[in-house]
Amino acid sequence: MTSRIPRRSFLRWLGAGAGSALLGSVARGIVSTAKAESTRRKCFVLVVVGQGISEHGVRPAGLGTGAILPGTTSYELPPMLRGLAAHRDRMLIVDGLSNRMPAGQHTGGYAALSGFTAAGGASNEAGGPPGGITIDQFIASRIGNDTPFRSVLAQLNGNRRRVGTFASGIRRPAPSLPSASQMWSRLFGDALAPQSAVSGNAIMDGLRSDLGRVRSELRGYERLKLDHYEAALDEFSRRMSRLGMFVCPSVDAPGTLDPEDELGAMFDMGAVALTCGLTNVLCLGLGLGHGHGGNEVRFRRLPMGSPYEADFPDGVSSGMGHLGSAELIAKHHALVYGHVSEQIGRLVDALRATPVDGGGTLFDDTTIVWTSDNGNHHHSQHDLYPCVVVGDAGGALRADGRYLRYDRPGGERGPRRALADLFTSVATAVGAGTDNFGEGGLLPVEGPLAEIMR
Amino acid sequence: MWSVAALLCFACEGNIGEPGGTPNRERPVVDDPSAPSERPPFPEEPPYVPPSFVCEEGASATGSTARVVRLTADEYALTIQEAFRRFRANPRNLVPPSYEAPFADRNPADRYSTYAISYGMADDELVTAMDAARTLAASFREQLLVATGDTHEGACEEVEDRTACVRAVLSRLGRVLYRRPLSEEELDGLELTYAEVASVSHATGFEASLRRLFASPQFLYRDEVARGPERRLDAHQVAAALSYTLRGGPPDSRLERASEAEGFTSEASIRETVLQLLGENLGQQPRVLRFLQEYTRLANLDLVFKDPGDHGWYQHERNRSANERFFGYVLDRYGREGFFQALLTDPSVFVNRNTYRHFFPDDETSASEWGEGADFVRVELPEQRRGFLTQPGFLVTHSHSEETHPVGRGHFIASSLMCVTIPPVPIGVVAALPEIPGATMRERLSEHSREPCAGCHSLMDDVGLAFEIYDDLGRFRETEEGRPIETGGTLRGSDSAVAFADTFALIDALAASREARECFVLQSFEYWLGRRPAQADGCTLVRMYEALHEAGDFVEMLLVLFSSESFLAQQEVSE
Repeated sequence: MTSRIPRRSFLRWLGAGAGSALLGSVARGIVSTAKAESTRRKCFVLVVVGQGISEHGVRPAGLGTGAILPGTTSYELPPMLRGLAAHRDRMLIVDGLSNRMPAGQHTGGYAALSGFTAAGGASNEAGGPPGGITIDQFIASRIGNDTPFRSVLAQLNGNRRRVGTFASGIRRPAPSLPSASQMWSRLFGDALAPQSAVSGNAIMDGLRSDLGRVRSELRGYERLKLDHYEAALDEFSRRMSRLGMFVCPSVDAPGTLDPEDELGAMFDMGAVALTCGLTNVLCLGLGLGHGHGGNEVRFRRLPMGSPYEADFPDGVSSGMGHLGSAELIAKHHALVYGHVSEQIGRLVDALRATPVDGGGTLFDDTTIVWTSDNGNHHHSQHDLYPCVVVGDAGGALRADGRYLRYDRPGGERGPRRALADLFTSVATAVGAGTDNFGEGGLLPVEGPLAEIMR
Repeated sequence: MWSVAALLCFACEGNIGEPGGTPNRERPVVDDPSAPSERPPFPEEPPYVPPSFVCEEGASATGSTARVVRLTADEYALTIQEAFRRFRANPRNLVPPSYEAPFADRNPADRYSTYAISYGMADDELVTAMDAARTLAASFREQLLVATGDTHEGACEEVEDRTACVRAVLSRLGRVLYRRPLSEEELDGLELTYAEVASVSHATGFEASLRRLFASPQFLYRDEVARGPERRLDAHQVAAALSYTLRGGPPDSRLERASEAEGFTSEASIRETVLQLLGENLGQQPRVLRFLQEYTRLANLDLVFKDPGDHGWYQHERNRSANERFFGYVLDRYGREGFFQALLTDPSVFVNRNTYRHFFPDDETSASEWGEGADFVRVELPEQRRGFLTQPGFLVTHSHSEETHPVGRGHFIASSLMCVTIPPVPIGVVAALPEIPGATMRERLSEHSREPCAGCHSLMDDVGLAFEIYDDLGRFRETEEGRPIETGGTLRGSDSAVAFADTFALIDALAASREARECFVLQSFEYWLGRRPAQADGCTLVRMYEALHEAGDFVEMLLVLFSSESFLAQQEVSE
C-alpha cells in the first residue's frame, strides 16, 4: 500500500520545525506498511557531526567536574538538545569517553567510529584508509542483512564530497550519499527500481560472465580487486531481489533546498526508510571531515530571528571552527546542533508513530547515537567524545534521561574509558552482540558500559 | 609538572613506527553463515624498504603486481567523454549526459593520486556505477536515434539487420571503454544480452547491452596485467597506460591506430608517443604540473585555514596560481637541462597586484605596478628567494593557521626531499607547542633536543627552523620577537650529516645532496607508475638518475621510465 505525498506538501514537510501534521500523514502511510511485517526488528541510527561536539554546548550547567556515575537526572537540558525535550526520559548524555588518536586534529576520519587508527600508519586527518570496521557497518553486518539496504549512509557536506567516515573493514571505505537528491535517488528513485526481469537478469548474468572471464586470468592481489567487484555485484543483486518485498510510501524528489531543509529532508527520508523496512541501519552525517576543505555547511537561515542573530550575521557553519570563546561555541551549538536535535526529535516522532507486531512502536526497538567525527574540539586530540543516546533498544539500554560522566581512573594523565565501549554497549543492545569492538585499537576496551546496560 | 613540549617528546619514544601499537588487524565482520559473503580484506603491505640505486648485471625490472587499476573519477569521466565523442548524431558528436560519478577523485591519504593500489570497489560505488550505466545507456541510444547518415542510423531501428548493427555499435563503443578491441567472445556475450532482452523490445535490448558495457569490469578497471611468457604489456595496454598516465584519459584515435599498426615494439616508438603526450609546452602539461603540486603538497593548500579577518589581501587561489607559474617556468626553461637544480634554487617569483605583499609586505604603494589578476610578472629576488621551498605557496601549505610550522616544513624536507622515514606521532602525545610569551620558535622547539625526542626531531627541526625567515604567509622577515632569526643547523639524512650556515646554504646542500637527488627520482617513479619502486627496479632508477642529474633532463627521465621494464613488464604473480 502506498501513499503518495504531493511534492508541494513534501517540501513543506521539510521545513525546519514545521509541517508536523504532514509528518503524521507520512507516518500513517507507514503504519499500514509496518503492520504487514510479521517480525520484530531492531534498528540503529547514527548521527555524526563534523568538528566536534563541545562540552560547552552539551554539558549541563552546574554539575561540576569529575565522574558522575551512574548519572543524574537532575539537570537542565542544554539548549542544543531542545529538539529532544519530548523524549528526554528515553535518552542519555554520555560524557567523558575517549578515542585518543594520532594525527586527528580536524577530524578523526575513519578512526572516529572504528577505534582503529588509519591503516598503514597514514594520517587520520588526511583521510587515511580505514584501520578497521566502523560501528555502523559492524552493526549493519549483523542486523542489516534481511533488508534491501544493509545500511543507508548519507551526509550533507558543503562541497558535496563524500568524506570518508564509514568503513566495512580495513582499507574498505563505505561511501555515503552526498546529498538529499542522491539519497532520494538511491532510496526512492529508479536506481534500484525493479526492472523487467528479463532485462535485469540478462545484465547481471552478463556482468557475472564478464567478471569470470577477467578474473580467471588473474591471481593474487589483482584477483582480490575483482573479488571486491563480485561482492558489490552480489550486494546489488540482493538489494534488487529484496526491494520487491517492501512497500514504501512514494516520496517525490526533494529538488533544490537550503541546507536547513536539505538536512531535514535527509532525516525524513531516513525515517521513511526505517519505518517501511528498507533498512535497519541509518547513518547521517553533517559537515564531516577536515574543517578547512570546504566540507562545512553554511546555514544562513538558522540565526535569523534567533537570540544569536547578532553573533552570526552571515549565517552559521555546521562546524564550530575557530570560534574562540566557550560562550560563542555554546551559541553555535544551540543554533546548529539545536537544529540537528530537532531533526532527531522528528525522527523519533516518526518511529514512535509506527506500531509493530507484538505491541509498542518501532522506536521501542531503536537506538540512536549522536556523536562527532572529531571529539569535542575543532583542534581535537580526541580525548573527549560527548555522545547522546536516544532509545533503549527494547529495554536493553537504561536510557532514562540521565547525564553520565566518566573520568580518568588513573588520575590527570590516565586514560579515559574508551568510546568503543559505548559502541560495544549499543551494538549489544541492538542485537549485534560483541564485547570487544575496537579491541587492539586506539585504547584498551573493557566491554559494555555497565552504567547504561540493563 | 610535565610541559606540553615534554609530552610531545614521547613521539619518538619506544615503538617507533607503531602508532600506539595499533595492529590494524582485520576484525571478523560476519559470523552468520547465512549472511552475504564479505569481500576479502586487502592484505597489509609489509614495511617498505626503498631500493638502492644499483643496477646489477643481468637484473631485469619486473614491474608491479598492482596492474589491475580501478578508474578514478577523472579517468572515468574522460573515458565516458571520449566514448561518446566517437559517435556522431548530426550535426555534432554525442555528448554524455549528467550522471553521478561513482568514484572519488582520489584517496586523500595517498601520497599521490596515482597510487592505484588503494582503490577497491565498495558496494555503493558499484551501485552508483550501475545507476550511471543506466543513465549513460539511455542517453547514448536516444542521441543515436537522431543520427542520420551514419551506419547506426536511428539507433539501429531503421536497419535491416538490427543485431549486426547493435554488435557494430558495441564493438566501436567497447573499443574505447575497454581500451582494446573486444574479442569475438566478448561481442558474442554482449549480443546475447541484446538478444535476450530484445524480446521485450529492440530499444530495451539495445540499452541492456549498453548498460552491461558501461558497468563491466573491463571498463571500470584498467587491465594492465602482462600476459604471456615474457610478462610484457601488449600494445593496447601500453597505449592505455601511457594515455591514462600522461593525459588522464583513454587513448585517442591516433594512439589507438599507433598501437594497432606499430605495436609499440621499439623504444623509439614509445619515446615518440611519450613526447607527443607531453606536448611542446611542458610547463602547461596538466599531469606534469599535477606531479609537482602533489610532490610539494601544494594540493593541500586549502586545508590551511587563514582567517580573512586577519589578512584580507590573502587568498589561497592567488597564492597557488603564483606557485604554479613558478613550476611552469622551471619546466619550460629547465625541463631539458638543469631541472632539479633550478627547481630548488631558481630565484624567480611570480608577482601581481594580489601577491606582491608576499614579497614586499611593507610597500603599500606598489600594487599598481603589478599585473592584474592572473597576469604575473616574473621577478628574480636572489636575496630573498631560492626555489620552490621559498615560494609562498609551499610555505603556507606547510604552516599553521596563525603561525609557522617548522616541524611540518622540516618533515617535508626529511620525508619528501631526503626520503627519510619519520614515524607517526604516537597516540597519547599532544602535538602542540608550549605558549611561551616572547619566545622564538627555535626556543619553543628547544625541548626536542633532549632524548628521546631528538631521534626524530633532529631530522626535522633544524631544517624546518631554517625557513623561519618566512612567516606563516610566506613573507620574508629578518627578525622574530624583535631578535634576528637564526637559520643555521645540520641537514641529516639516513647516513649523512651536513652543517649549513643559513637557509640558502641548506638549499644548496639539498640540491647537491646525493640522497635528495635519489629521493626525487624515487618520488617521480612513485607518482608516474602509481607504486613504490622495488629493488628489482634498480636499473630503471639508475638510468632515471643519470638522465635527471647527470644530463639534467627531466623529460629524458620520463622517457627512460616509460621505456623501462619497470613500466613495460610485470613480475609473475603468486597466489
